[in-house]
Amino acid sequence: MKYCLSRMTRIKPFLVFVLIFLLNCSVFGQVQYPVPKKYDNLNWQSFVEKIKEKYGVRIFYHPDEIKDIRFNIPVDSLSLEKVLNENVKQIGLRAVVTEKGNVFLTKDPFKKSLPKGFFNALAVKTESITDTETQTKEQAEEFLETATEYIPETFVVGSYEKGALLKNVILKGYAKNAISGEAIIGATIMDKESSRGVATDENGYFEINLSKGKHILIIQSVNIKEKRIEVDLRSNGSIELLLDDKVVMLEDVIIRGQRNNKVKTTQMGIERLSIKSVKKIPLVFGEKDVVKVALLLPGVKSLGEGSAGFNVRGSPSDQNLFYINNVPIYNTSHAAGFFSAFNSDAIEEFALYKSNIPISYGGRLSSIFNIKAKSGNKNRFSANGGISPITGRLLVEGPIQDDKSSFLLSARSTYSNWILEVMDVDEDIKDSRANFYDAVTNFSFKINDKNELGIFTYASHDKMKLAGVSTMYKYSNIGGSIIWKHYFNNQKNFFDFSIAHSMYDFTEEVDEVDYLAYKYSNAIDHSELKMDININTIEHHKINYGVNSILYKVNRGLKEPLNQESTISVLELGDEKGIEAGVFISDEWEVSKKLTVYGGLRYNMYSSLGPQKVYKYADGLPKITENVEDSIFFKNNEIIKFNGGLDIRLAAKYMLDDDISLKFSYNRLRQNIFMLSNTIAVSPNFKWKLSDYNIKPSIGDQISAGFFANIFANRYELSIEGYYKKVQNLLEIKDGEDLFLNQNVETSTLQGELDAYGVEFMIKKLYGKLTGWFNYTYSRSSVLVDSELQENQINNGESYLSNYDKPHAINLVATYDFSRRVNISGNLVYSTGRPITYPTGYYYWDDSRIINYSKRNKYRIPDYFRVDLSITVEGSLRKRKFAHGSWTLSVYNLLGRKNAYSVFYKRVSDNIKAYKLSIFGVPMVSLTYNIKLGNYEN
Amino acid sequence: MKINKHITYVFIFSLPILLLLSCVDETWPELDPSDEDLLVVEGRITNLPGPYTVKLSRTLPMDSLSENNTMADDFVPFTNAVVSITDDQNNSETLTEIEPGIYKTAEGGIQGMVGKSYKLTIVSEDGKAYESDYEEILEPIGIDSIYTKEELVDDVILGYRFVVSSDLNPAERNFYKWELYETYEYHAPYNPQYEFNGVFTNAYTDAQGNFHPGSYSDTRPYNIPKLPNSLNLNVCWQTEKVEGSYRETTKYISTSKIDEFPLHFIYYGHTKLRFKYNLLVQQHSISEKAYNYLEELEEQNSYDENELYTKQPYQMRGNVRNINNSGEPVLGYFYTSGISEKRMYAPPDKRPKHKNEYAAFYCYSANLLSVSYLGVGATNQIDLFLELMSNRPSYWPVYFGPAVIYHPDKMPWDWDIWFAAYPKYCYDCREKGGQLEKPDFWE
Repeated sequence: MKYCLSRMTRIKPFLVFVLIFLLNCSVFGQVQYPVPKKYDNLNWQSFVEKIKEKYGVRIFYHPDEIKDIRFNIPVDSLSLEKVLNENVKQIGLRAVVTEKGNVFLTKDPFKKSLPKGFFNALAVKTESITDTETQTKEQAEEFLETATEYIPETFVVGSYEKGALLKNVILKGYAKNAISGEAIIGATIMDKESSRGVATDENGYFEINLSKGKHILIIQSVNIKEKRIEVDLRSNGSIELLLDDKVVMLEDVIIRGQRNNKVKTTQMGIERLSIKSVKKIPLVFGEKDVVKVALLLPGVKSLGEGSAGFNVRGSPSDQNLFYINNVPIYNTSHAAGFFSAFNSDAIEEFALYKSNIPISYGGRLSSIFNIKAKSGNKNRFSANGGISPITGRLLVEGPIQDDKSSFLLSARSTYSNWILEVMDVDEDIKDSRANFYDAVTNFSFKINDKNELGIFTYASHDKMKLAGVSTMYKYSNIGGSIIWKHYFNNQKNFFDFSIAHSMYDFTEEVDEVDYLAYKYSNAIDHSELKMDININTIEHHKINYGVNSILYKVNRGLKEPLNQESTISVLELGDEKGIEAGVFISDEWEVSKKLTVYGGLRYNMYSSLGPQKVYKYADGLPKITENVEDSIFFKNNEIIKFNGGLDIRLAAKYMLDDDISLKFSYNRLRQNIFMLSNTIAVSPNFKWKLSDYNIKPSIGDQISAGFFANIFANRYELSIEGYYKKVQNLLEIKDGEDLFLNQNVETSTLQGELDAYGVEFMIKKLYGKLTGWFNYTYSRSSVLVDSELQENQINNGESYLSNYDKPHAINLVATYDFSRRVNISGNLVYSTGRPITYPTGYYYWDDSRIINYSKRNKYRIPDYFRVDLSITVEGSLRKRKFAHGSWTLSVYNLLGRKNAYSVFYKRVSDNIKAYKLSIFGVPMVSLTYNIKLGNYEN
Repeated sequence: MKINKHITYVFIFSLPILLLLSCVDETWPELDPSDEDLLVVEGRITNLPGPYTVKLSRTLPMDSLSENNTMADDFVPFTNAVVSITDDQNNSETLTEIEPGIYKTAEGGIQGMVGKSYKLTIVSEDGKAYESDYEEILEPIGIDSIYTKEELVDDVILGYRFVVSSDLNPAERNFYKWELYETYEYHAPYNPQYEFNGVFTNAYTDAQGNFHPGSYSDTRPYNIPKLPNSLNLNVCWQTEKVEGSYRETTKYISTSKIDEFPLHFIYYGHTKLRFKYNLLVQQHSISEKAYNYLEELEEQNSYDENELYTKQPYQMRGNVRNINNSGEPVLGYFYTSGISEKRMYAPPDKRPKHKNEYAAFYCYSANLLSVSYLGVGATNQIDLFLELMSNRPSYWPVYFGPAVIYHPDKMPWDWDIWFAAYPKYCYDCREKGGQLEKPDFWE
């Protein structure tokens, strides 16, 4: 239960005992706060705003209890209390207006004695009134614009007269749990400016010596929510700090942090979710998975179950870049896309930038998926783990040196092989293999107040063999990063310096026929250096500038015999090298309270580097081997081709109201790296290719505009975004070309144009027993590869739908908390079926029967619809316990609908039949047990 | 065991099972009518003398596809079109529709010349005009050699693999297509003595008072004509196109010469090798575009689509277009080739040792139409048989003669000469498709 305080109010001092006293007095005589009749028919929000403005009253209510009501005010000059009571009666509430101008709306009859901390006031004075005076000050405008620091009130301690002769004053007090009143032991109270701090003793008592004047105090403890308060110290005095349990506040914290974000930041097209807020969403086999959750967000789609990667706003999957703590991950899937390669235990939060990609990132046209790994707990050791039908997980974290440094180790692995050995199952099943593991380590060091260092590593490995297919796929990502964060003197400006390295290796082993057994491999190495400086001290400006540089090394493919019997000859496609560097600067300028503009420039430099032999093709002729004019050899590190260009970011935000904003953004980006794959889905068999002598970089432009609002007293967050996107030089594979062992990729590919547009509608309910979101997206995406020359056309030069064009998509995600221990959660997912090229007829040619296909992607597979459900039961909430466990029962595809992954034709005895392949055609039930050391929250 | 199974179904234990949970259901998507009934062009002009044939047909809808259908069943001719072949000097010849959908140049008409380019134009009955690209007849590349190599297939089947090596060609990339025509001699195992054409003649006494009995029985009522001994219907030559596609390019190899490219395989016991076997290898030199077309056509129609990760299939259009509406898909290809030829005989040493494979396979006891001992009292059977056959013209002429009869229930060497009626093809080899005339080249 949490009550919220209407903001934008000049808050008058109030005291608990005064309130209690006032409640006993009925208000007679003159009408208190008469409400004009012209307020008739206003909605709750507007009414509250107007009343607050008119009388300076404060209104306390639980946002969940206020339904969408409209005020009915029959006559002029009724009292506020009467008007409120008349109107909130229908929803079972009662209003009480105090003489001091506080309005309380409650469900239960108003009690004479209030529980401690009822108002969630940050501090209530305990000593006599004459000694000190506590008052709240008007909230800083700044706070409204930045949702990061919630410091709504200033507490005045003592008086000027008493402190006239003092230079320093002593602030004493107790830290108590706001609900239970228990003393909080070991909480730290730190003065933000001087970094001087003290800890509370076993009674929750503390004493701190500070200079007179205003201070920001940061109160932290393991089990409580961090609190920041501003105190105005005038003389010696004391305060009582009422602190909230983390558990109780947990969801609200997340929501608070986000609530104003969407409306108030200049950013748009961003989806940010913390792991805690998504942990209840049911997923297949009960594996928590950030990538799968991302698919429930507007504008994010995948080809189907079992396909890796995703498509953001109509772009191919290689236009997304995944970073985990600055380490780029080139294959983000386990088991070919059934799971993502990120163990959510080790993830703090992720952000997906869909339109306005921050200037410090470049190199991908469509999105940046930025994952922030958890840092280890700096105060205490902790461990947690879980067992799902597929994997076992374990995470250990703790301090290396108390408060200074910490470690976190996390690993996840399948154990299916062991199960297979134990169980007496089909040979076919036994023959299949799908093993994977991933591991994360994260070390954080706080060197001093100004310097922080993080050392992070990531590894994942997959080994997969499907029943009946003699192909074994193996692939792995290994990477690490070192991030140094330095604050300048004022603590507001800082820079991040990071070095990251990532390696991706892929191997395919085929041993169907002994003498043809071969092994094929390819790899990519990515080394990145980044320096990013943030200047926040110039008033109304936030400046970000820096440089980054990436060295790519691609092993384009090696085919070699798998064993001694094999007669396969070695084929090596060689390496490829490229360096990409960027210099960037951006400024977010708050022109006025209502208008903020953002502009960024990034100069991108890409050089394809030798050693390499390249072919020059005759001008105006298709790039096929017939038309090779010349071959040129470049020496090591010699520049083969330089592509330079300016990336642009523009954005503007206009606040129509405190809770409503309009935004606009324009982005231009460049991409020099491409994923090559001939298959429809992103199969494990893909490889990376850099832009080179013959292949031009892709250039993407996106315009988007949006409307953002927090409505119904901030309980709902609403957004509508529209976009139009155009990509030039999109790399498309020619019809029927095989890229597997292609020496000259330019002969098998063409560069065309991608057009995409769409509207995304999203509404999110942020708190209450029922939380979740609903979104609807209408989007289209098509590709055109045309030329005068027939050889340079795809689909005969006609525009065709991209594989992931799914015009209508609906996602509903909802969680209902029955109690703190039991919740039920569900998803509903609908989308139009993806385009497909169908066989439409047959004919004979040269005595063979030939199947004729339709134009590319002319048809669609049936629509997709799925419902999932999960129930989580937490163990007891006792505070003192050794370990806390929870059970999650989840059903994926509850209705067992056989959603089509693809439709294909097959010869069956004497006929050809059309079939629909479904990946999860039955409800998938799974039970997961999670365990961690400590109690529910720890 | 039962419990174990139960566990497997109730709980989902491991990832591999997950991959098996995918399921396949039958479906039939609705198709746009404009994707059906498309024009298919098949034609070529070569440096060899004509006449040249162009085949025009229409596609069939997927749901009429059945394995029982032959190519002839499924041929929907594109009729009454005006089809012509034009060279790059504007010499043109209009083809004649000799049967529905089959258009042919005249004897002594247009003749393909190396180095010249040709295009095909089609004007349909309803006035739509189609045209192919100009295609050049490339210089034929000579065949250096063709020969056989012994090969063991599937570890058990031993036979000949025919291989071809081309001449060295100065061009860096050549694209080859081989067409193989085999000619072999084969024999029908028996010579007929009597022939029945459904006409009965009773035993009779002629004007001179001579009694004419049945040829083999004094008592039988019917008489059938005895054939002259000179009638020889059992030695034939058959020429057939060898199935399979044989293509190669020097694009990916360092020498511009094809060396020992494997053609077809024939096992040693094959009846075709019983007497003499001759192979004609036609080596076509075609353009890269045509080569790619053929390659892709085959690839697209051979892979199994029942996989998660399949290549994107696509509509394969050739080089023929609707002049006024480039959006109309036209299928098939009009291509040219420069052909060189070579013949060889299969080496004689591996001819099947079996006495007569042909007889053993097709003219065995089980195939007998009727049989009778060469003796008195067994004739009723023959008479009954002839009466039966008199109503079945498709069996005519029914041949009779003494034949080796192996007793099915006895040892192979237990045989007798019986008087028997085998199916026609056991006497007349033409019934199996060959011809009695010896080919010109036959040695």
